[in-house]
Amino acid sequence: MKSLLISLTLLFSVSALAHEGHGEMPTELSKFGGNMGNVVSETKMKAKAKTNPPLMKAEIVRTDSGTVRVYLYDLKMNQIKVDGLSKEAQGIVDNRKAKTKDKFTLTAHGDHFMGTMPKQKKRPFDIYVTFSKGTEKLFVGFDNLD
Amino acid sequence: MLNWIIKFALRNRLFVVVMSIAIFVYGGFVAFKMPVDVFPDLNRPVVTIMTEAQGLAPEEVEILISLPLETTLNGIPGLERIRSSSGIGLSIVYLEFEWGTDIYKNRQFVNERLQIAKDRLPENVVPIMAPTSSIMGEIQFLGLRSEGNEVDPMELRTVADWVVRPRLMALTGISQVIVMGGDVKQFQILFSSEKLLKMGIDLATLKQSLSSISQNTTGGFLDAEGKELLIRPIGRAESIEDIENTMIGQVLGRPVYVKDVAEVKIGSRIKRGKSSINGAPAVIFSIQKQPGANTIDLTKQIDAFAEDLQKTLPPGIIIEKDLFKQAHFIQNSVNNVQEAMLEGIVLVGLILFIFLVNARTTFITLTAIPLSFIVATLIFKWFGLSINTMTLGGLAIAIGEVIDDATVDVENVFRRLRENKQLPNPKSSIVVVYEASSEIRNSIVFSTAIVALVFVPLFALDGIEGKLFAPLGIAYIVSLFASLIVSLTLTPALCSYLLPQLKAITHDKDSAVVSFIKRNAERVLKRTLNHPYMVIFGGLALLGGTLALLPLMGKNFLPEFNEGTATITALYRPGISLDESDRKANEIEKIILTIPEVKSTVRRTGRAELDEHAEGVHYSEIDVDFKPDGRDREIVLEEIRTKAKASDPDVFMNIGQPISHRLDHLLSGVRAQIAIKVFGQDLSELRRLANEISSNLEGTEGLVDLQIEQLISVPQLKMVVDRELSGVNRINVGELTNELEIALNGDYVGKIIEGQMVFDIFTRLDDESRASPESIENTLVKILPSGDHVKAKDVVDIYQGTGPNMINKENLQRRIIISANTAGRDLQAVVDDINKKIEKVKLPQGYYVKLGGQFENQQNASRMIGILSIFSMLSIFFLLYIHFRSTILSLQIMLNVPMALIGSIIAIFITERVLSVATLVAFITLCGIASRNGIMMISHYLHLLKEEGEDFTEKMVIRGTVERMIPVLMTAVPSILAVIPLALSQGEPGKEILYPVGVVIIGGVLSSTLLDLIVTPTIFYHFGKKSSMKWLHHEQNKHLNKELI
Repeated sequence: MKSLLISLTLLFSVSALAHEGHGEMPTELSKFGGNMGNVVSETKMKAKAKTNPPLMKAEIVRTDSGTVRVYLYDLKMNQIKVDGLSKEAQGIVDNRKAKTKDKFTLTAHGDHFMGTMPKQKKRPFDIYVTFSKGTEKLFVGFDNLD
Repeated sequence: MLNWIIKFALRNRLFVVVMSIAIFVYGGFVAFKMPVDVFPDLNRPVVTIMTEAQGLAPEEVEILISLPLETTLNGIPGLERIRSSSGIGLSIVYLEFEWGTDIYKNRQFVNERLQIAKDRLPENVVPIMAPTSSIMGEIQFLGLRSEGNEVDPMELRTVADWVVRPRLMALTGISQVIVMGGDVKQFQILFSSEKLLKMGIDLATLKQSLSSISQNTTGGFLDAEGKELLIRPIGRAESIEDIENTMIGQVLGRPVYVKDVAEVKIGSRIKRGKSSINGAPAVIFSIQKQPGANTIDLTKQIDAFAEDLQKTLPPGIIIEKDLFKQAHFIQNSVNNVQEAMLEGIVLVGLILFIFLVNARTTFITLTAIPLSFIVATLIFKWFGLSINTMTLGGLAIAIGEVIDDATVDVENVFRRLRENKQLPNPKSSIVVVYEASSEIRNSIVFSTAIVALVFVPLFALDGIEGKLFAPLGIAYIVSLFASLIVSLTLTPALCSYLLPQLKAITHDKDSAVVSFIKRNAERVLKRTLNHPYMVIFGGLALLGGTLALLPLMGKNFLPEFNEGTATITALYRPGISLDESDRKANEIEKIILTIPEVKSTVRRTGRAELDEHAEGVHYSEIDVDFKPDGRDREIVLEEIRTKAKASDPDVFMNIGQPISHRLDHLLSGVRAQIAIKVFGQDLSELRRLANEISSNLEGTEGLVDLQIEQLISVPQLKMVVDRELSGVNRINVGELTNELEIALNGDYVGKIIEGQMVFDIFTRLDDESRASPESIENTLVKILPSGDHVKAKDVVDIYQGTGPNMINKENLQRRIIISANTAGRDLQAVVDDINKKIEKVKLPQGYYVKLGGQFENQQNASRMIGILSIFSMLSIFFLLYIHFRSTILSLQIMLNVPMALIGSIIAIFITERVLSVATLVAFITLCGIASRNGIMMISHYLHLLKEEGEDFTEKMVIRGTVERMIPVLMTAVPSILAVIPLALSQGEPGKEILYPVGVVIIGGVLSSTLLDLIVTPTIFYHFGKKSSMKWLHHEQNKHLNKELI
């Protein structure tokens, strides 16, 4: 019940903010050839980009079979181990075209979070990932994936 | 047979001398006419198929073009590897055939399969087979530039395409001229989305009416009044006005003309590449020669053509011809090797004179060199070989050997004439010359056979090393056999003319040098002869010590070439626009030009049409030509690297050389020593694995330039057709995407002919209509029967996503490459470390890693040379056994091989400390030369036992050694001196590969000769008695049997 509530809270908080943009797109090019996103504080999501600066950067790498890996970097693009973060991260696939929101879980694997996303029939879609660092809840969004 | 040849030569000595002069003159004439190149023909049979597909994304190019081509072409007889690169709008498929297969037959097979493949490709996509070209194919750049920017880039390019290129292509020997830069002129119809919407012209109508905007057809024939008239319906547009006044539709019964909805103008074709000369925009011609064409002659022709062309060019257009020319490198290299040869000949002449102290004997001996070389050159011509650094290198190494036969003959004739002079009734001098020449004919033939046959197994070398060293081997062997013929014909003839009247034959006195050597040798021998175990263990310790040096040395495939020019590649992250990439690369070019040693630069950013490289616009290649003098090249290159990197930290630079760059491509498709290839299906997974492997490899000792192939995601504006909505709007998906392609990417709808020049008519939406996703969304796609307008946004989803910049495949498998070089550590050790680290990476199912690159060639070549050297050793042993009928004596002679190894390893260790294929080939060459010392020594001991009645005593061994020491030195010292000029010029153009060969021969011959004078007599004295007696017994029986029979 508790986890359901958390999930629902997360879902609402994410979807409420999903279309407001996630700050400026990072200009750095990805290390693994994936898409980049800025990691921001989830609690300040409603705030403007200026007051919710990126805390770190993230890269999403997906395979055709649906495996999703999320790598984290500091602002100078040095890779960060995810061991010090929550053991799990929550992922949501927001498919505006299909009007669906599918959840999936990512688990920590040394230098990245890994999980399998539900198959999407329509493209493009966005993926939002939330995880925590200590007590701080963090969020990263990746738009227009296909 | 051999006696008959000598007899014939002496009976017809004038004829022999005259014939020799005639051969010399004719051969010299032929030599001057022969094609000159840097290297032998190194071409691997590779067929390249290029398919242009304007604007298609790499994913589509891969699936629609590369894959059908690969699957159809796979399985062609002799095909070893098939590689492909699918980039934006371009597919390049490389078909690599087995070495030694006929390229023309391969092309025939490919052509047959291409006919089948064509049906599987998209409409209007035509695969083109690139012309056959040589690895040293790109021979020259020419440039066209405007003086003071008076001439616009379009006029420059028009002159380049329609005046310069056709005339260049007409020059015999040119296979391809790739033009890059300037603005390609075309007539453009640029439709306004807004006007089309206003006029109610949809994309379908536009496509339909544009397809026949400018065309002539035929009306057949008209028979009238006994005459036949050809009917020509002429609809081809001839001007902008013609196009403007073409009707493309109707609105409310009123015609709509092109001018109502579009701007018609002359514009530049969409560019995928830009170029410059010395930092200023220019049109560049990259000229490639046909295989076998004479580069130097062709360059002269091109220069003369350029000179001539300048007079007829429009004012303000300058033709730049003083840019990169491969002929400079060729001329420089060949001159360097020729110089080394001449210096070698002079040194050999000097040493012969010191030993012989006689001008005539020296002259007779030296005639063997030019004559043998001229004969060798004639044989090159018959074999279709060119004069290049390797054939000249073979001759340079052979200098020391080709005089051997003549030296031995002259020395023997001289000695016999002297002995004859002492007789109370001397024989006729011509008889003495015959007997003396006949006496040593067997040993001449035998030693020549050994030295030459040792090299024969090397002809089994495959790949580039085989192609490189085979001409060296042919030159070496042919000149040796030519020298054998000379020693059996011209040498006796000249001896009979020049020696009998010689005053020196009347006295029996050694020169001062010879006396000194003999005196000291005797002293040393007396000390060592009775200490066999000290000599044996001393020798073994020396050998063990030197073998221990081997692991301390690096390994390379081939030494680095010094081409005198540099090819600098400047790479930015894929996704950069052409203009930005051009601007940034231009900055780097300007920085390079500030370096005082730089003479000129030619830069190409992106890709030219017909170019066999599938590089994107992020890629720039700057060819730098240097002034002949100035600072050391390494310092200059380091300065370029540092300054460029400081000015632009985003740039990734790679500095190489034109021919080396092509060699790397030819070897493995990668320009690095090590290529770690990761194969698998999913591009993201491949990139991830490549990064993981690369991260694991970071910090590996001796591993440098670690780099992952730039296969990354680049931004794409995706337009996904909504099938439901397009169905609702009665729009066919295929037609819609085709119409969008014409509207956004454009299409060629006809031609306009101006004199002899033909220009395309190109159409698409104007810049304003395709400036943003929003403006594209508003493009009118269809007008429904109800009159409602369907815009793009009504039937497609437009969003910005990502896609790969390029997809590379090998043998139909997608792959990504992590490349690296080594520095300061053995290549093999680094590769072992890499293998260990790769094993730690967990590979998903269906993914695998393969190591390739230069090291693979180096390993294969080393393994092959190792096997071949066993054959060489066995052939030496069998030849020796046939001659001496004794395993012990044969092995004693072969002791010279490890003795030679000692010196050669030490020599390499002292100099460059790198073992390459060239070093290994030199080792094998050395085996033959070193064995010769032992043969000469042991043959003489046996001669003393058999012919001069000596007993097997210490005295006999000392006498034999001292007597044979001078002939041994007379053959060994020239072998060393001949290659000294090669060994004194590390890294000089043309001598890069010959340098290690020279070093090995010098070290090896030196150690084997010096040790031979101590080890061979000692071993023979203590372990050769039984075998010698057996041999003596056999020889006496043979003699007796002959008498009885």
